[in-house]
Amino acid sequence: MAEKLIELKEITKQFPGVLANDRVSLDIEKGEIHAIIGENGAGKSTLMKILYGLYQPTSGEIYFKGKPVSIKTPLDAIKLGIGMVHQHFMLVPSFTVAENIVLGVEPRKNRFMMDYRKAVSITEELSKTYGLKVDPNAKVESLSVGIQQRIEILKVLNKGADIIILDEPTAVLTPQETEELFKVIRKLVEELGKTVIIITHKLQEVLALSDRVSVMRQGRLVGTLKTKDATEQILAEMMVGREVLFEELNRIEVPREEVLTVKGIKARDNRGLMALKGVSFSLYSGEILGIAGVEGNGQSELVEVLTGLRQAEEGSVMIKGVEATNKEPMEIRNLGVSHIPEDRLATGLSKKATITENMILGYHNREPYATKGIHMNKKPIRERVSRLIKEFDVRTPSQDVTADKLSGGNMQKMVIAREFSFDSSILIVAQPTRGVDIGAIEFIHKEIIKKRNEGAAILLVSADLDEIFRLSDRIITIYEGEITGEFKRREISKKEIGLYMTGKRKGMRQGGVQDEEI
Amino acid sequence: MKKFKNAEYLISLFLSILASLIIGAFIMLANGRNPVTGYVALINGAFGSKYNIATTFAKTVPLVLTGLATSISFRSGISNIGGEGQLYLGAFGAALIGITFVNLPGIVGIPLALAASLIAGGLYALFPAILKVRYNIDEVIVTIMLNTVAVLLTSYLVNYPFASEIGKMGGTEIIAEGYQLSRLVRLSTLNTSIFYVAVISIIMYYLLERTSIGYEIKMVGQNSNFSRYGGINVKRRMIFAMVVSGALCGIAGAFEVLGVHYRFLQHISPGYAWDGMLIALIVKNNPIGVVLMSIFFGALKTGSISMENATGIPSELISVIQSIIILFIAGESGFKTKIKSFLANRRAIKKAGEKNA
Amino acid sequence: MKRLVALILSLTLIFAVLLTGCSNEKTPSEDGKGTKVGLVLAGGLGDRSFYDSANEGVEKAKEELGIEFKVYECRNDPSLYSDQLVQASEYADIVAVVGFEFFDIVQEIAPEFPDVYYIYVDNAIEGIDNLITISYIENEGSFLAGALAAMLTTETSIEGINEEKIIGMVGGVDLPVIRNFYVGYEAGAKYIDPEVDVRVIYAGDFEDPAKGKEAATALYSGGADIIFHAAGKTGEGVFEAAEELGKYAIGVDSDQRYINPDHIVASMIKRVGQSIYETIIKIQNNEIEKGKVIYYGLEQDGVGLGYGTDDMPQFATEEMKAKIDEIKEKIISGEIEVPTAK
Repeated sequence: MAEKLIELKEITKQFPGVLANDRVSLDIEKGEIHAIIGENGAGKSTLMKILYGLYQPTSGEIYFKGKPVSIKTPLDAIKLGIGMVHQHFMLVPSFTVAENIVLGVEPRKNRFMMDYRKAVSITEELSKTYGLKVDPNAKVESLSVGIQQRIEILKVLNKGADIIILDEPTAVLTPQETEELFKVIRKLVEELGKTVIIITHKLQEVLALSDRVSVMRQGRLVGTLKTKDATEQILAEMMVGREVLFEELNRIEVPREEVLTVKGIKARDNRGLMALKGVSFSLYSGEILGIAGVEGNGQSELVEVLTGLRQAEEGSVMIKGVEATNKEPMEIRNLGVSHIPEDRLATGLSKKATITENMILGYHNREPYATKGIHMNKKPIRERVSRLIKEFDVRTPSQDVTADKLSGGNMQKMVIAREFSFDSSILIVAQPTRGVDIGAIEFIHKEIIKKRNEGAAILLVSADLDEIFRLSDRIITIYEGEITGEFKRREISKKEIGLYMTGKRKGMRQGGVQDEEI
Repeated sequence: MKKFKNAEYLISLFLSILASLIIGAFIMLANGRNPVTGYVALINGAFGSKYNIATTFAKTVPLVLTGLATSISFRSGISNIGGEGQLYLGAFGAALIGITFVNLPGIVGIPLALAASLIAGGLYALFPAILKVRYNIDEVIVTIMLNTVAVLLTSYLVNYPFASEIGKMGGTEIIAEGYQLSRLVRLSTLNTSIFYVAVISIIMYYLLERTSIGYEIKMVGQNSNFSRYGGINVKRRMIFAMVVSGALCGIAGAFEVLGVHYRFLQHISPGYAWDGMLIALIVKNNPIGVVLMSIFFGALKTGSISMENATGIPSELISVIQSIIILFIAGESGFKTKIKSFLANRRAIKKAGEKNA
Repeated sequence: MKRLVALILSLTLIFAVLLTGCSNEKTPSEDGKGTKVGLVLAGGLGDRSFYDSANEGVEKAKEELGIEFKVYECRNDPSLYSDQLVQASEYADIVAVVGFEFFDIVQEIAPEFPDVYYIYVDNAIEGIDNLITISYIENEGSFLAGALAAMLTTETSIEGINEEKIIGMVGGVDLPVIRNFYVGYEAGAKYIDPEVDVRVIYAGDFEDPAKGKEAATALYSGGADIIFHAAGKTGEGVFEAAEELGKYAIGVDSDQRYINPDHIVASMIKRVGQSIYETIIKIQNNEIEKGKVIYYGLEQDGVGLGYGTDDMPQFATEEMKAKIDEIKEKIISGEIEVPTAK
């Protein structure tokens, strides 16, 4: 048996109103890839944050190489060689890649001046050693999430970590990027002798990558098993405590009517580069139109233009026959558009506001929640919110806690509950299940289909191809700000669509348009 | 949970105040004074007689207004640092009405003077707000600079075009009798403005805590992306908050004229807007907190003068104490986690001890 | 953290001990026999000028008349004017109120304490029985200062004096009182030589030497070699600038030469302390005319020019001093009419 590197013994963490970890005992062996899986709110992140010194356990002990240790701060953890890559990145957006990587351990010219050239060479060195390609001089704010994650990993490696904790690393990645990441992880473990703990809830990934897997449910450890003994079915059952079947979703035919017409939209991204180079499509009621593409090919900008958060330079957006190009978000909402934003923390909610405050937005000035649009009535507001919490299964001790106390999945359910509760005929849904557990994914998917069956027009943007394939009635592919293909449901395979997503093929399947091979 | 959080905050606020008073006591000791006599004189000075209580409340009046002004602006995420300038212009506006329309009865004149101050203060805040939302020009710098402009402008006005004929004191003429708010307690400057302030406080509380406008202001301040995405007109709310903030400061100035000095003086405010800002910071922009903390600050100020006169302990000590409170509050979250981890550790140690036993 | 908690706990303990230990202590009762005088200042002590001069007056009264006194400083905070005046009135038999800022408040408070005498310095109010105001004819004194400055500005034999006929003045705040200093100063200079250019900058503050220094530096670099200040504590900055640039200054209110005898050539003295002292005597002797304004000009020796003590280097020659005395006589006799500011 391999050496036990870390032993967590009877770790309990009590948050006000929530028991996040309940007597969890777990050990990590040297040189293994250990996956920790569980639904959102199961306590995986909390447990790892305790190991990394961000939280103090209410009770319980941590042993490192057989000796009891007290990890009070991340600094203590780093000293032990433990590094963590968080789900929500902790990078300084206005710094360059190199500056971010050396942050905290800057090479110095003298007491006050940082040696930037050295920082760049350190970055290049790291990048070569671990095969993670980055441009040391690029500003972080201008980089895609996938790249930002690489920077986080390099940052941790630069601090000399031997044990790397990855919190939901694939949630934000495309299939290709995920594959890349896995190669890197394997290299780290097999060639460089590192130990990796990966938090996830994607079962295939666990099976493909890890050596051992620990399953958590509602703050408790359900069990640890060797990956080779596990199957998707077994793990899923352990996670949710019941059998999960990804059943075929029930679709009913509803009358189609064009509700959203997009013509020749051009827009720039935050860096001022052309992100959309003339995008046109139509969206019909009673359908889900999936936009497939590798992240960073204009999807985010498209969603922002449609919802009024970004100015289009050219082109037009018509909503139910009404001109809606470059209107304010409020006006677009009033035309019956709801929006699940891709970044729930920055846009979808206010972390410091209570759940009630977060969930009433949009209704806060409507009867009966606000008399004459001004006087807010507590009782109906609270009733509405508590109803939505129940309907959408948002797990929270109370509706008065601030949103930052919720786990990622519950935050997302809160956002979806709010947006779906408007009687909108158009739903623009971006990355609805990013960082969300299986149980919640199933729930969210069913809600989306329900809306479709009720006659809503849904635009679905997702980096998760499985999701696109499962939900969409129609799929369009986007590459470098242009639409490269349009397909009906079941008309194309995942493998084939990859060619369109990467610009290797262009053309419409529909209406007999000839494909052109590039 | 919310209540729990509030309780937690109140405890740390109380501890901060207590700790700063203790530090104050040590400063007194270090200077060879007896802190007990000092604090007794302080409390006596603030609440010892009807006159003292009245004086405390007289000092509270402007602080409540400037505190509320800061609260609404900070809540919306736009920082009005220009309260002092708005106060000066508001005060001058009120005085101008009071010396111009001398024949108006109070019932018409006072609202008119208040309206003038409200408009003067509000407009003076509108300008930096528009610069902020239109051109993204930093409102902090603009409002700070506008303070100087207002103070110097009014100083010119009262020394030349509107200078008082008698008294050679750098002020306007005395406002007409109809405008003078009556005093409530003999010798004290406490006047009927306190009733107006009570009403304004209730309105502001209602606005901030019970209306959709207050809700929107709060959301805008917390996360403007979220607010915009959610359909709130972020710019309009920021401008609204700033204008209300300026108007409140203007009214604070008006009450100094109508209730205290009965004329505009060129150094009419000893920095009420700054004190109001401190108060709002301490109570985290909570309107009820602003009222209570203003009374506390008013009492400290009134009491400190008596303390100085009775014991010779310099009243500046109170400024030191106020600053220490701010420091503690600023470090509050840090302290809180430290205290929590300390308690958690102790529990852990205790448990370990039990196990060993 | 443990240490901090322990520290706070122990501090609390000490505090508690002190509480019990000290509760028996009493402040010594002050039932001295002398008259009690409260000195209320709009600003604060330590300006080595106006307020300190007032303080000297009550100090002198304490030594020579055996009175007791307390000082009530408002530190230029208008919200304290009323509080301090009330507190002083409650304590004292005679309240000396120093600062034009009290114009309204003293009229309001004085009638409320009919048994207290008020000596109000630096303004003019008539008709309140227990209120005596002392008003200085500061333009007369400033006239002399201006005359001296005009005579010195061409004395190139003195190091640092240039040929240009430019003299300066730094005023505290642009206020009627301060403007009165200025018109006298200007008239005095023009009396000696109509070609003298008299420049003034108002610093906007009575308490900020940095602003005074800034203003003085601007004037000196514009060619002025002598600056008269009427700016309270702000004036200290003028002295600093004079020393650094090797130029000269004229002090105000007290005889300020002692601060820097090498650069302060004279002072326009406003005998605030002396006049308060004299008025206290008059009140004690019941010689006072109730509700009147007492004017202190050159004639009453309430204002004048001070040259410091003999051990200091004298910049004003005997001839100049004689000329100043001559002007003084002419002003007293009415031959020279000194203008007043509006």
